Order: sequence, then structure tokens, then C-alpha cells
Amino acid sequence: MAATKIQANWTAVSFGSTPISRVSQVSFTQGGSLAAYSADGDHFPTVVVNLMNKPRASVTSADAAALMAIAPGETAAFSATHKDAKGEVGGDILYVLANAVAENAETSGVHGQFGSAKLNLLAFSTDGTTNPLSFTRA
Amino acid sequence: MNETIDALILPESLKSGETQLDRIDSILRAAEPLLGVDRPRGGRAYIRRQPGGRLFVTTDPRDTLLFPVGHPREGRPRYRWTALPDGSERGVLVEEARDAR
Repeated sequence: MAATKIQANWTAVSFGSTPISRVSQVSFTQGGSLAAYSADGDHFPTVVVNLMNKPRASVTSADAAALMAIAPGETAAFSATHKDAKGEVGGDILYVLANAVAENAETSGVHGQFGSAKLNLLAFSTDGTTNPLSFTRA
Repeated sequence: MNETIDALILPESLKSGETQLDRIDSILRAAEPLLGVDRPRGGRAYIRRQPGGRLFVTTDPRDTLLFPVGHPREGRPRYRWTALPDGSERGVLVEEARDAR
């Protein structure tokens, strides 16, 4: 069967050598932001430009022990594969956030519901020019 | 003799297709043969979106366009680039880049 070209569920999620299982959510963001310039009598920006991008990722998992063991400041590559919706070969997308720095991990649980933990990551570029967020077909 | 290509810069306008996977595939179809990617052996071409509508494509997600901050060649290109008429560029690692990342 051909790939559905629709993604559902995540697999092969890892932070460096630490595999992360029981994943319920992963997000990657390009982290773009805009700077707006105005001066003198302007009431609206006369120039809006993208000057800085801060790629980020986050992962939510029921494996709280794995995420809570990652200390803030720890640096590694974060990767995750977004699976083809029907599991067809050639339909998975692999994302890699190089130089991902753990910002914070937190865990929570509501009475009568499953507990989970969430890890937030912010990436840096070793040369200041290359985007640390890459993707490919898995 | 054909020189090995270590990196590509492709204009985003080369992307085609309706879905995200189609668009990724349209770039990989062009890039992976040039980069010598062997998928059965685990090889992949990784695509990064760069400012200015450019895609930087290599076989290692840790690759960078320039030498890293703190390196003796900090800020200088890691590749020797050849521009093509279609707007793409083909890069070959400079000698000093083969051991530095």
C-alpha cells in the first residue's frame, strides 16, 4: 500500500541516547519571531522583519521517570518520527533537533487520570547560521 | 572524474506537491542521488530551512554551513560552493572541515 501522506502517532523518540516511550505528544516549532519598526509619527509598523529564530521542541510522555531524569541544561540531539497514519512503508517523517538543550521537565497527574511528564527543549546553532531543525523521510 | 558532493543548497521553489511528505520527497529525489545516500543502509538526506528561501541538505543533521563558534576558522564556510543555473549550489567540504563540526 502507498503511504497515506497523513501522519499519526510518534515512534523512535529519543534525547541523545535516552529513548522516550509512552509518548502522547511531540511538537517542533521553527521558533520564528518578528521585529516591528516604527518611529516619528508612525501609528503602525513601517517595517516588519524576521530577525531571529529559536527552534524548539517538546515531548509529553507517561514515562515520567525518563523525562524527569533529564536535567535542565543537558544537551543532545532530540529526534522523533511522525508515523504514517496507516503505518505504510515510506510514509514516516523523521525530525531531528540538533544541539537541543533541556529547559525544563515537569510531571503532573490528576486524581483518577494517568500521570504524564513534559520536557521542553530549546536548540542552538553551533555556527549561528545553520538551522538546527532538520527533517527527512524516515 | 565526478567530485563527491557533501552538501546542497536548493531554492525552496524546487519543492512540489500538495502534502508535507510530497514536498519532502520532491527535495529528497533531487538531493539523495547527488549526495550518494544509501537508504537500505540507513542513509538519509536531512533538510534544513534557511533564511532567504534556501534549503541546506546534507547526510548528517549535525552538519553546519560555517565553522562553529570557537573554532580557529570560526565563521568561515565549511564547503566550497559551485553555483548552478537553476539556483542550486553544490558543496564540497574543505579539507579542514572533515574533522571539525
